[in-house]
Amino acid sequence: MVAYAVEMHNISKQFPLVLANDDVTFTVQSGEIHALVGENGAGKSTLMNILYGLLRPESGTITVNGKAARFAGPGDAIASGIGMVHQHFMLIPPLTVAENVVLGHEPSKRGFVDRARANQTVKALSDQYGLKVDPTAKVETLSVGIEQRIEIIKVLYRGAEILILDEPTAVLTPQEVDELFEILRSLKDQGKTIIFITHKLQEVMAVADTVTVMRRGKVVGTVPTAETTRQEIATMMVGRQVLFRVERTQAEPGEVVLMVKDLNALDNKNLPALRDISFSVREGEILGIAGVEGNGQTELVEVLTGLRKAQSGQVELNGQVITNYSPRLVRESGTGHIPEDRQRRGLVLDFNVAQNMVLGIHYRKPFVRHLGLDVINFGPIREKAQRLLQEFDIRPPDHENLAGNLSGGNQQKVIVAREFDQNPKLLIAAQPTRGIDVGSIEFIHQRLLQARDNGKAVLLISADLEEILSISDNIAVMYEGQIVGTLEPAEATEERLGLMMTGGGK
Amino acid sequence: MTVELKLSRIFQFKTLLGIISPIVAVITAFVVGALVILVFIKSFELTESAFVRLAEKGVPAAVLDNLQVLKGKEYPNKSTFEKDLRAAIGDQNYAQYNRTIKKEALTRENPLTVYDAIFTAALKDRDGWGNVIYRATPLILTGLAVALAFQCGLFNIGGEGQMVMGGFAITWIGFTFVKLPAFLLIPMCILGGAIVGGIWGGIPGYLKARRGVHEVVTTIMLNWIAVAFTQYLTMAYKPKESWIPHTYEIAKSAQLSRLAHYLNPLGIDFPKSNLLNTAVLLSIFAVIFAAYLLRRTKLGYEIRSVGFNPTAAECAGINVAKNTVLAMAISGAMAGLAGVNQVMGYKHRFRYGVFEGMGFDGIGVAFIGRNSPLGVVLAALLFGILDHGGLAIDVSTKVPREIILVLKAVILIFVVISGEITKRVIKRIQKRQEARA
Amino acid sequence: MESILAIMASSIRFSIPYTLAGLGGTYSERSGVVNIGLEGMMLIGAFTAVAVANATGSAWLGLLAAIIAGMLLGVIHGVVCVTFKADQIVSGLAIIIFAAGITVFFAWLLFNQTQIKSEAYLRVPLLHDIPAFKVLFSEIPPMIFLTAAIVIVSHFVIFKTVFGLRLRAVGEHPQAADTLGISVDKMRYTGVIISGALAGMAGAYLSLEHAHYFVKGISAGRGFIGLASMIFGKWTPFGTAGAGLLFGFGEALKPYLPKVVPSQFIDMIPYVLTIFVLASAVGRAAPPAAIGIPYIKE
Repeated sequence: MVAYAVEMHNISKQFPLVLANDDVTFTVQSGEIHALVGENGAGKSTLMNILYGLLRPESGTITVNGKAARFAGPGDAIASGIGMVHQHFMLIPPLTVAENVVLGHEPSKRGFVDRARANQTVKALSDQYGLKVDPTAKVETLSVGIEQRIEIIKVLYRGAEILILDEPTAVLTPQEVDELFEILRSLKDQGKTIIFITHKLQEVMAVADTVTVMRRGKVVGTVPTAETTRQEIATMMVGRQVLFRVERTQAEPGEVVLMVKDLNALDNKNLPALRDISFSVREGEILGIAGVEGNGQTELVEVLTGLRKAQSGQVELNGQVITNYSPRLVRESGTGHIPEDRQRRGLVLDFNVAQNMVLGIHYRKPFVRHLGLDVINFGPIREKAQRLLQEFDIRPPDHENLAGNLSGGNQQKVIVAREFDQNPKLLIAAQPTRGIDVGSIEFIHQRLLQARDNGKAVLLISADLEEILSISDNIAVMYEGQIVGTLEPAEATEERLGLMMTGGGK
Repeated sequence: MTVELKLSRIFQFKTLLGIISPIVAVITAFVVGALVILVFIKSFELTESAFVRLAEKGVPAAVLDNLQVLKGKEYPNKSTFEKDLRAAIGDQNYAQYNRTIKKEALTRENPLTVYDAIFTAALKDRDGWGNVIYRATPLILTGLAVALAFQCGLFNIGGEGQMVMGGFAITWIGFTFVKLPAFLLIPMCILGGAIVGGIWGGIPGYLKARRGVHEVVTTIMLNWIAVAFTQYLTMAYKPKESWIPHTYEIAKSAQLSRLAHYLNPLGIDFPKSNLLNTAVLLSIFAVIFAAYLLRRTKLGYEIRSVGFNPTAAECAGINVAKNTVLAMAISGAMAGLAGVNQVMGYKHRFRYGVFEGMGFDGIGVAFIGRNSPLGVVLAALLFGILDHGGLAIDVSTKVPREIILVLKAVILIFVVISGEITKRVIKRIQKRQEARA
Repeated sequence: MESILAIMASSIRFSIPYTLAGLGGTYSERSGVVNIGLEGMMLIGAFTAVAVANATGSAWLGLLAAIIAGMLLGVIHGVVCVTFKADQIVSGLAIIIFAAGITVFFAWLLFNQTQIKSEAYLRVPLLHDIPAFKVLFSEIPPMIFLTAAIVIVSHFVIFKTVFGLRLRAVGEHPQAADTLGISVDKMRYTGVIISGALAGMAGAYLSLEHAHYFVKGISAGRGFIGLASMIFGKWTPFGTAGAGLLFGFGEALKPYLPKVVPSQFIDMIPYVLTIFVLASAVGRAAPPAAIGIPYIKE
């Protein structure tokens, strides 16, 4: 066998707004388990998508098993023996395991699917690698952990020697994770090379031979796991940069505004997303909840804003219990919400700016007049919109412009303006500066600080550590549906935070 | 030019495309129709000049003499022509010359004549216009029904059912409360039509909101249930002596007068036989109401937000389920009012035949009108022109009236396709703008 | 006893158009394309069958022509829905309107009337002349056997063949199928064209066997009942046939019912049933997951 299964040299990939891969060199030895780690947006998925032929790099070379490779698409990659198990499974629920595996390359007898042979082949692969799947079971009845194993069999069925797994443990329970590791070791014993993308460091230490760390599109370092520690990797991931801390006054927090007690909730797959989570936010304080996306933050915000049911636990706003209130009632109790997905949740893109400025409060006076039907009063709406366009420096300052025509930063400013103007007691800001330009980021941060200075309670949820560190008065780290630690900003170093965010803080 | 200005240019471009595409669709449909007419409409006639040409081609004089019998006769049907030809000149000659003769006798219809006939009949005089508007009146309502529901992201195919249920309610009120004066009875009938239509529309709305059942299937099923039910009711309320499947006549005080009744005293010459009646005022009111509702009321705002982005609407506290039901109910009410023209203004009785097909036409009208109130009016007028003008085709040309249906269907297909193409062109332009920015 | 047999026989006969149309819908919807236009495809099949049968003297040729006519409408639906990715429901409606217009248009043109008697009968040549079979076939139209055969074959095609597997995959999760190299567009076109063929066949049965003439609007909503059969039958061939039989049974019962129950209420039964099935939890689980959503490659 060749020494290196995969060699990627000087790979660069430019997207419209960001340089996802910046002169990256990445090599994987044959027969090893190699972990690729980094925060969201570090460029790991992009790099692997290039390896799998889904994307084409602007520059760089790829060599697979000693042969130069130019992949026009996944078909070519598969032909070279590369298989990818995506983070979002491509399985068809009503079909059986075997059917899903063989789809596209079905063993057939005169046009009929040779079910027996398909089942046999799948069983054989399953036994060979300890995957323990029943070929005749329907996928819709199976757990996520087994679904992942089916994806692995799919890839092996097509002759993969090099397997790429994208965040494989993101959706697994701890037992399923252990089982997966057994499988990975078994695959490795049989000569396969494995690359897996993750941000969970204890897993890296548990099963990987080598780890490569990426940050902001560049490779920070490659080390054998035996020669490093979790702390070291966390530091490399998060970076020892001079963080841009915004000038701010010391906070003077007052009464508790938001109290969350033992909250439990399920995610869309009916798996627990929030596990007895508890925390509080005081007036005049910004609580920043840090954490890698996918650890329950989305579900937390949904429960707090009335968009998701809490299975148990309590949410109190200024002493009033508002658990499971409808979104409108939550808003009327004094909560403002900057949603993490501005285009899906925050704006109606086909409405103009003015209409979006009153979304959620459109039924209140002076925006409506009661004339049998509630008739819209355009004057006050226009005034409010124009005022806010000015105040928040939204461009272009045209209240009749469709929201869909605005840039990301300006769209976010519309939402921020709207929510701020309502003077809420509690402001929930979820990933408020994701995907927007630096100028708008600064603007929004200043506004959040201003709100805090005016006595509001601000709950900031962000996967961007820099953001958390620069404006939070208090920091909590969320991991797998729980708060695993709270820190004062002074004691919050990058290493400690990175560690807690990746499961090491308990 | 800055990015922002460039992007708002696209918005104007979008509305422009939105207006152009139905026009292009109509033109395309007429072209297709013309092709159909040219290819399929053939008739056979032996004119004087045909005889001359046949003689030049060497057909013997004896045969031509026998052929004189057929001179000047028009044969729209090929087989009839062949039969008479065979009878006139005998089997032997037929075998030899039938192809030549048929070739000379073949005439095709000029599509432009056909279209001219349509538009002339529809638009040449007040009687024509009156009929066009009369036919457009119920279509405006069924079209609004579909358009309104669509603003909430819903597909109301149930116009047919909502229309007949409302229409029957109108009739029933009309022949039950005969003692009431017009100023009471007419509003009661109208209200009845709206309420019953609204309930019939609200049912699928509720099923969608509460149980997630797709409104397309439920509205279609309810159509057929409504048709069957009203047929039963028609028989139940049929005058015993009558053989026709219709109900009792509604009270005189519930009947709407034809517009001629009002226009003639004012000095405007308008034929008394023209069916255009005061129900058109209701349709106009409905359009204004719909436009007002959508653009200027809180309910309209909420309905449209649910239609554009239910996730954002929910996040903003808008009750998606409530708005779904309301939108379908209002939509059904609109369709239910179609009976005002058909029953109160025309037949004065309930009879299914008078309603047939208007629900479906309403869908076409709504989509060709791009689901906007003004567009619905224009599309309904277009359909009115096609329907009324189509009658003239039968009379003055050899084309069957059903070409109108073909035209309607082609227009609909092309409007739908061009709508998609428009959307994608805009998306591509936007992406290019963003990348350059 | 006699009437029970008669009802059974009628049920089977009445069920044919529903079953065939429903089967057609099944193929289309299994691939992810909603086909409301079945009614129109049926109508055009009915007309084409009679037109060609009368012209050629052979009812079987008429049947073939009907199938082709249905397939052509299927192609149109495919172009609008799969290639242009426009709204599938509007396209279906447009097809119904188009078929309604064009059938009467050509009826006038070719036959100068809207009611055309079918002059040919579907007869199985040779077999029909054997006295024993004559009795059998004169009571039972050959289409019954054809339909039954198609139902059984469809079951195998959809659930046991490679084609069927890919068809279902495309309707459930087109993206997954795409990543495995299956052409979503091609499969969807195939599904829609088959649905046109089967609906055309249903129409041919209506005009050649059931009524023995073509008349404007002869399909009378049977295409929609076919859709109801499909939903009721949970998008499976045997289920659809069963539901079709059920609806056929309802139709067969009509002359035997006490005069108390108005016939119009019996007519309503299939539709009311469908709504109930859909509104209950049973109905919700069933349709192919990706149905109605045009597949756009990212």
